[in-house]
Amino acid sequence: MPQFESHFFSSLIFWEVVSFAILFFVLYKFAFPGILSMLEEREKKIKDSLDQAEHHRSEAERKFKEYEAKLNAAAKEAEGILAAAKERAQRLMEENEQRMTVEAERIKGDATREIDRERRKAIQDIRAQTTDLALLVAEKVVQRSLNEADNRKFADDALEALSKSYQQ
Amino acid sequence: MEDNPLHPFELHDWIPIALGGLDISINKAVVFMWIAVSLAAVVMIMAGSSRKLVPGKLQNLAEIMVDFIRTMIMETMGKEGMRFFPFIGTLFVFILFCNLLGMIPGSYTVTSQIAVTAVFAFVVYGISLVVGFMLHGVKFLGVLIPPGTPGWLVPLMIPIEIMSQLARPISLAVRLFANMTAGHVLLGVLFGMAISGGLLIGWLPFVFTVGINVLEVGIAFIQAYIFTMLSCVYLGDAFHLHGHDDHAH
Amino acid sequence: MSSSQDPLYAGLGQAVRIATDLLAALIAGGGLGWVCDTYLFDSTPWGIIGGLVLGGVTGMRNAYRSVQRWTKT
Repeated sequence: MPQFESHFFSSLIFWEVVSFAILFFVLYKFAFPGILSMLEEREKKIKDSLDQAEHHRSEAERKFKEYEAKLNAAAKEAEGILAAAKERAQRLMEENEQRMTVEAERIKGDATREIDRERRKAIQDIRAQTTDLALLVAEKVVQRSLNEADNRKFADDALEALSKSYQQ
Repeated sequence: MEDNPLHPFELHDWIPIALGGLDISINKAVVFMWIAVSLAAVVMIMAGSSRKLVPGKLQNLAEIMVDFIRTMIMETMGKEGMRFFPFIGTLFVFILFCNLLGMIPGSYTVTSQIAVTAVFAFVVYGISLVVGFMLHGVKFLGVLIPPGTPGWLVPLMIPIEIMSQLARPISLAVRLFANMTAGHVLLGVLFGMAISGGLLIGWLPFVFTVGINVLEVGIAFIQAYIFTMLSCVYLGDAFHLHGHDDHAH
Repeated sequence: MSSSQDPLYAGLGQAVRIATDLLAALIAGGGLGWVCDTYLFDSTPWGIIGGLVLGGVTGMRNAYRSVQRWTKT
């Protein structure tokens, strides 16, 4: 193999070292810093825009959460209002019902009392009229004029007996 | 065209020069080394000076290379390894341009010279030794005893480890040299067949030549990559003692 | 490099790497033995033989290690 001809080694190695040294120096001074800083700049730019995007995203998320919370609060409030309204309606209804019941009770009581009074009055009337009627009948039957006091006593006795038998 | 496929690798002193007792004659390989270095310098400087945020093709290529080398260093050596960026970067660019320049028919592949690859390999390895001893002192000799070696094996392991340490630069040098040589021998043979075969069947090897050439461009990149990658791994080993099992690439 | 992601190319690359590592260990062993023979001791040919054997062992071990590491990942 021609590559193993040691005659050329010294010149190859010498020029290799020299060329490498020159290339190293040139790249070190004029090429790498520019390219590296370029890369870093671009990376920084990308990172910045990524950061910004991330920032926007988190901001949006925060806003969304906020709105959500607001919405939730509103919903809860509405629910509360609805519940309160319902409760009030219920209460009003119950109150109404109670009042109605009381009213009805009262009206019923009044009516009963009225009826009772009317009945008593009617009984009284009937009694009085019956007494008069009885007197008249008795006078006609006995044909004897008794004095007013005796008449009344007999009649009352009779009526007492009558009302007793009536009430039985 | 010659029959000997190794003919393209032959060198002849074009301009004999002697420096002191040292023969530093100019030959074809040296000239193409200069061309490769000049091309590399021009490309990289142009890429470095056109500071556009949206890069052109050339700037893009150079940036991809630089970014690639940087990532490689970061992965194998960590942030402190960036001090070696200029060295590793120059190494990569040098080897890559020498490899690529060799693709052109009639040119010379400098990296197919074992002397050239060996110098790179031993310099890299020497640097890794210096770094290792500077960072860890005598403890760096611990690389000769892999962790978990039972005591009775130590006398056997030390020579084996010395050998495998020595094998590192050799395999580095041999790999690049062999790949670049083999590719060119194959290319040269096929190209010779294409020329001698004439129009009738000559096109077949020619098609092959084109195909292989495409493959060779890939190999040029891959070999430059492997060489610098392994250099980074060896340097990384010097940084992190006994950390070399992490870099399974 | 994209082609190194291809399993075929990766496998091929791995095989070539292991072969190169084996060869390198052999060269290292042989070279060390040869240096011993020629410059250090007058032990021709035992230095180069021993060195080659040791290099072979080292190469095998390194190859075994690489394969192990490779199959693990």
